[in-house]
Amino acid sequence: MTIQSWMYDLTIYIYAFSVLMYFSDFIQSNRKVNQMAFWLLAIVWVLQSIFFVSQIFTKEYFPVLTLFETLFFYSWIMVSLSLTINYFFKMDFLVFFTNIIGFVVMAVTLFANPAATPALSEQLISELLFIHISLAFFSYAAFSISFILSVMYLVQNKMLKQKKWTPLFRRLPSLGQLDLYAYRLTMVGVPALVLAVILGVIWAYVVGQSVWLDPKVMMSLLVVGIYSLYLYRRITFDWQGKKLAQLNVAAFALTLLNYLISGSLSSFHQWLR
Amino acid sequence: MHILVIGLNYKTAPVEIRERFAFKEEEKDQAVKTLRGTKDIQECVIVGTCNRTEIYAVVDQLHTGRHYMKTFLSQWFGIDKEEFVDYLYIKENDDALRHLFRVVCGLDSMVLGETQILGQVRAGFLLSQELKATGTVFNTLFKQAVTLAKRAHSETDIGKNAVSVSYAAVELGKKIFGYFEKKTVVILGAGKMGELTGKHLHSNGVNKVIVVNRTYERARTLADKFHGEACTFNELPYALAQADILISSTGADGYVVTKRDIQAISKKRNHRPLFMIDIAVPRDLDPAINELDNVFLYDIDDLEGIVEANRQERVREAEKIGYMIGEEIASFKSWLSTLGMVPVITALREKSLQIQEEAMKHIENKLPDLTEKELRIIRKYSKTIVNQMLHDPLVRMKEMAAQSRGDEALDLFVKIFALEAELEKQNKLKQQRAETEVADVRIPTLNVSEAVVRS
Repeated sequence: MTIQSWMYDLTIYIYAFSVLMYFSDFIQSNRKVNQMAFWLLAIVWVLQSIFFVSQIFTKEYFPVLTLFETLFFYSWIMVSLSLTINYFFKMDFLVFFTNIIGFVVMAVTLFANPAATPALSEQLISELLFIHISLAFFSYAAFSISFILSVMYLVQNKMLKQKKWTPLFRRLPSLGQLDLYAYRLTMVGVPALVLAVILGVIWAYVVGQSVWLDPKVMMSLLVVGIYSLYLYRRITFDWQGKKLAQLNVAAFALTLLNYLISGSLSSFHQWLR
Repeated sequence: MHILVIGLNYKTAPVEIRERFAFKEEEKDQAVKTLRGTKDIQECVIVGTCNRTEIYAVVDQLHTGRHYMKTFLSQWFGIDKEEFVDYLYIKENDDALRHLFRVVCGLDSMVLGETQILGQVRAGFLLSQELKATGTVFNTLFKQAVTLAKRAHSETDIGKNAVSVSYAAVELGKKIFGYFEKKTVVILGAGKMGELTGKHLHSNGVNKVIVVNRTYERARTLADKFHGEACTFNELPYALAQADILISSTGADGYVVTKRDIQAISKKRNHRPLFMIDIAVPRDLDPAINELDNVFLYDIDDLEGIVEANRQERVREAEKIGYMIGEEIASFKSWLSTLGMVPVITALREKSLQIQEEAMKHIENKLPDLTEKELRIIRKYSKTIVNQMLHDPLVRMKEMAAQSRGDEALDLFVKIFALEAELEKQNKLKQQRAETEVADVRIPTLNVSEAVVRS
């Protein structure tokens, strides 16, 4: 555990450096710093992955049960996705914004007890539960990045409309790209969340929980609904561009609310603390 | 040894003068050879573009170097010196280095940060190198300059943003759509400006071009250039429904397209983003159109605004390159100063060996009974004494030569060890070799020996 915690601290420091470098590049365009930040982030990813795998071995289960574990898992997915997107479709600032969130979440895990044991009795823990939680967090990560893209869309849209030719305008990606990737990530996120909800219901049925009146379940269904509306509007060309981006931002706000508030109201999502 | 640049460019000389000083492509070889054959010039590179004619040279003495280079220009182009000296700029040593680095990075160009000049400087250098008109100094300097320019372009955004109105329009379109494949551009009014912007968009991959004009014939002529469609104003609503990009430059008095026109077809267009450029004066497109969602309208002033903002951005990036140039000058100079050490070291070695040899002779005379083996031992250890004595001073001197005021330190070193005579001898040798080399250059059938060029 000592090696692990030492590695964990190192990861946080390197992560902080990487985000700071991205920030410096954001303020004053500097490609060298940007590249260094990228490599630091790659190191962060490797360290996180090692930490994650070593957790699997020491805890002898897929570590997504406690607050510490889930937040760590989320920040790991954020780093993975942002690195992948940056590798395939170079988009300035996306990595920076994504990793502000990723880093904040990782920093929050410092305050969570890494040694906390799941508040769930052994027989309630099943394969289904692990897949349910990982899928849910995967969809959250996809929605987070989609949200960032939509916010970038709204900023860029505003600058195009108001004819502000600032350095920020020059470096932000094009509206077309932002819109397309926000859409694609939602396309990935929605099925993942739907699957997570279905698996959750099956799990509840297996362990004999009643779920239908639970606020977390209802909110999750609402989130699925609003994201489906987003997809529907886009596919039928009912809405385009700005309105879609605004809807996406609203949908993410609801997702956040769902995670932060209804978790504590829920009767059986208690262990995520 | 000094580095000198002499030349004229668009800032110092009008085109009537510049055109008279243009080296013809096929005569450049001969020009480099002639210049290299000129007295006092050790290395030379000619850079010639439509905006500048410059000669870079390594000369023994500044004064004579300047004189001979001017004479060369005067003779080559057949123009009296008095006629052109006022247009010339002459830069020496540090200023010459700075000038070369600025030129190669495009900071001295008419369009700040352009990259063409890099190729032109490189070509000039390669020609001289091929003709063996460059040596140690320029081979290092020009390679360093080319590397610096590449680094400047890759590490800063100096060449990134458009500085002409029609390119600014293309850039803006890229910010909206990201790419132009499957996009349709409508050119409203078959004018020159519309055509130019249409051409840029077309070469950037726009799928389809529709030209709308009052008379069908003119629309047809322009459309044929892009393999596009042509129609008259009657079919404008049809064209608008297809458009992703609209460029308007008609001579009409009132608005040709109003907010209501766009609203009416918005549903038919599936609310796709619409990028509209109005380059007509008076304007063709109702400014109120910009209030609509997903419609982006720009007039000629907006585009000029982008160009201006981009120019300022380039000036800011040029400042970053300025810092890089400062560093490069320092590193080149420190390399150059260690280069000055080479003859001094040789001179010192030679002198000390002479002293040692002399001492050996005395020993042999005074002690004739020494065996060959004993003499060998004495020779070996007396050499060791000399070498160990000189080791530290040489190391220190190398360090000092690389620092600021290295020249003075070097002079002091020469004085302390009284190497003047030795250096003089070396110089004479070098000059003799250089003269035979010049003779070689003058008679191109003779090959210049590699060793001489490297010296």
